[in-house]
Amino acid sequence: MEFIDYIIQNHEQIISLFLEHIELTFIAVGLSILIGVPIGILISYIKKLDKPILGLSSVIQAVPSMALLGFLIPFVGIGTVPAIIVVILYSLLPIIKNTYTGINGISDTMIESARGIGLTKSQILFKIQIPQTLPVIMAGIRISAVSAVGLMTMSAFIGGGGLGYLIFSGIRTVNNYQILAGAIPACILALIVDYFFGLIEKLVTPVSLQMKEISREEVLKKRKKQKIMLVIILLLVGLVFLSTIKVSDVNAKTITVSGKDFTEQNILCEMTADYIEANTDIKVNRKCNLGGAQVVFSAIQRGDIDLYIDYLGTDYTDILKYSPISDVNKVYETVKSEFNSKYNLAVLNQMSFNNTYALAVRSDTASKYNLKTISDLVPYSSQLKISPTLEFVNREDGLSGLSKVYGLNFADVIAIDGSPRYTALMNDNSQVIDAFTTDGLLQKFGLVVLEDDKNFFPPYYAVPVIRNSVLDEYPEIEELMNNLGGYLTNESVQALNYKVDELGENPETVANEFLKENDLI
Amino acid sequence: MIEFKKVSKAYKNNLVLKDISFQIETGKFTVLIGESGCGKTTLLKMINKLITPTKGDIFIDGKDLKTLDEIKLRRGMGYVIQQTGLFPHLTVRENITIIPKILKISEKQIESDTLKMMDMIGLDESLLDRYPNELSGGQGQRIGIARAFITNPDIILMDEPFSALDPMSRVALQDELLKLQNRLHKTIVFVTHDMDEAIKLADKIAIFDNGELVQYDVPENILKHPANDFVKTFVGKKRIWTSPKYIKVSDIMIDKPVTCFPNYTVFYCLNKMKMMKVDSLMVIDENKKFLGVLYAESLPDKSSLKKEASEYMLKDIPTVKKEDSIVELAKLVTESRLSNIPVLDDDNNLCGLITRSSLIMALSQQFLEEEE
Repeated sequence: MEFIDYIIQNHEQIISLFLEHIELTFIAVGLSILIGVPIGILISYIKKLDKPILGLSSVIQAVPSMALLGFLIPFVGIGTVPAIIVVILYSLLPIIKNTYTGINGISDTMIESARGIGLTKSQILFKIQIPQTLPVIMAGIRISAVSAVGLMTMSAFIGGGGLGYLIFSGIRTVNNYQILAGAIPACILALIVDYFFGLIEKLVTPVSLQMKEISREEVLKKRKKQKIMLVIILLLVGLVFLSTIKVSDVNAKTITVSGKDFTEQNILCEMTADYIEANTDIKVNRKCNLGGAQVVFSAIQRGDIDLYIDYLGTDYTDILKYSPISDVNKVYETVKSEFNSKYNLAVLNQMSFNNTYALAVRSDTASKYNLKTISDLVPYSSQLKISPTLEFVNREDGLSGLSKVYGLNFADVIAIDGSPRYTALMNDNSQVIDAFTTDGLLQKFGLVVLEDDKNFFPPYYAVPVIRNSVLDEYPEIEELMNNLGGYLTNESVQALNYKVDELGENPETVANEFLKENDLI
Repeated sequence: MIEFKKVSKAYKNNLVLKDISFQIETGKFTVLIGESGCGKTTLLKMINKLITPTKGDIFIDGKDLKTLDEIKLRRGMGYVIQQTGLFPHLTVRENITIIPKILKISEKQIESDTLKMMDMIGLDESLLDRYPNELSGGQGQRIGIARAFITNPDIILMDEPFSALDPMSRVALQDELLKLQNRLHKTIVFVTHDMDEAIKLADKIAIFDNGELVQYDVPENILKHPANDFVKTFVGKKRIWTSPKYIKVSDIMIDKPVTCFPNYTVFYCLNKMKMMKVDSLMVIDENKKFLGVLYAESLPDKSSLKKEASEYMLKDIPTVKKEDSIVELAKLVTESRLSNIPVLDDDNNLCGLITRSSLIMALSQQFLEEEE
């Protein structure tokens, strides 16, 4: 019953994410109704537009949600806004289509009769067409709303919050309870949403159209019950919205701290936030677990976030597009000066831990082939499959460079994102994975890290990256980060990751405890 | 008065109405009839501007339709169509009161008008809260009529309102519509393809064929004097027998009955009967004024051969007017058991004669025509 324990331990977080999810879903569905229904009406009036618009919304539907999300970030940034926009875009098709079909479905004779007795166009629309079409429109909205609940989970990828946060961080840390804690409420919410819109669908269906199977009295009796249920649900949703309205203090000193979407970054993000909050009067807005390197970097460029901790190697090769080198000082100086000149970002002193890439194998594989270094792997690589992250496959300083330098030639490359690659390794679907040297999962699964004997991997020392304007405003942050960096060594970070990944503790708690143990707060 | 002046309507190259000019009289029941596609419905929909003429003008009480606001115009006219005319999501009450409510007539007034309408169309008030799909076809169509009449419009347009009903309800509704019209004298324009319905309801019938107005006249003239072969076949030869009121005595009488003057001798009269092979003579004066009938069987023996006809003629016998219908004639023949009935005009002058055989000939006509 560890699951129950997990739920009890984290109930506050689960409830707040659940409420956030409800709020996001209702906003997205509400907006897509406001956009979709008028478009549906419009194209039923202007026939020339129907095919292009229905086609376009079908195309949007076919684009993978992640791709759409990635595409939107440069334009609208990160957080709830792009998530809501993506959900709206996906919700539009059923709403537009049903509105259009419904309105077109009303016979011409009926419309002519309405014109003939002297109704104006708008009166025909509002008194005749829409009331008769409402059940069909609501059916479309219902489909959209239910799928919006599911779609909204990916809002967590870009810091939008919601139940997706639990699901994705659960997947990343191979924590099934966390996945379930996100997925089960999402399913329940989907059922509630389906019921809710089903109620509305029934209530807006003209009484006359419901009388086919049951008598008029029964219809009216049922309606009374349905109305009561609807009011109850609406009150609950209203409460959710009220509870999430924060009294925002515009004048408060606020910065936004963020991090990428893996355990170590989650801990660093929480730790930085807690540390700054405890030692200054700055209020910190947390956007931890935001997304991959590119997502976070474009977020700081847009000013959506102010501070995060990055890794030198990533900045040097991935962002500045240099070939990987192993000279730590050169890498640091280059990144510092070019981030300042090109992106107006300040790179603070590097921290004490180096989270570089490594290759890892299971201990039985290591003993079978007697593997200690990456060079040891070379004779056997053609018999082994590797399952690296997508990022590792695509990076200059990743798999391709590594293979060239060492002469590796794997039997197969199966890219798997995040922690599932550990599962693949444990199931012997692959025999080699890429890993980070500070990764707690290495300990969790008892893996052997192969030594980079040719010094291929460039230095990945952690460095705080902060927007220049924010640093000018709060110069005290620099000293704090320098101080904190000294405490974060490879060993301490690995221990922190281990606590979260293997012991299943919260990144927040782990970060907070660490600060307390070291008398930092 | 609704006046059509050289009205044409074309859809692309297809001319559906060709140069139509005629006038629909105020307070009359005018039926537009023809086969489907003849343009009758198009013409009706032009009156409430659902369709605009390609050429020509339409005037209502002298006002050019083009200058009138279509919404106002339509609200001032009743419009009844086939069963789909009622809105299924609205109750009967909401259907009837939709326009009065838009016109912001007071609730009280609407309520009393609604009840009046229900009474007028002979439906119970309890139906007001029903939905159209709970009504029978006939009830639904009555509600349609109520909706058209509630704003008390001068003009009512009806587009095949009864064609989807079963024959029983159709006849009942036709009767009620006639009753209403006799009381209210609206200008009703009614489209149908059913000639029986047209003859039953119409004050005037306009027959359309292939976009042209081929005949516009009172039902009687259409039955008796079809303008061309199309009307003749459309009306059908037997049609008149379904409305025998339009068959007049003058249509079947013998035009030149055998007559005599009152001062003729009995001898002369008998000879004339023998020669003309008749058993009676109509006695008239020089101005053709009818005086009586001289029957052969009522003449005395040969001793009276030299006496004058006036002494033996029967004076008080039933006569008919030449405008009387065959229905009245038949009744008279049955009641009086007479074989000969003189036909008089308004000045009591003799203009013809009905005999049993001429009546039988006329009545048998419908069966003989069928065999042709």
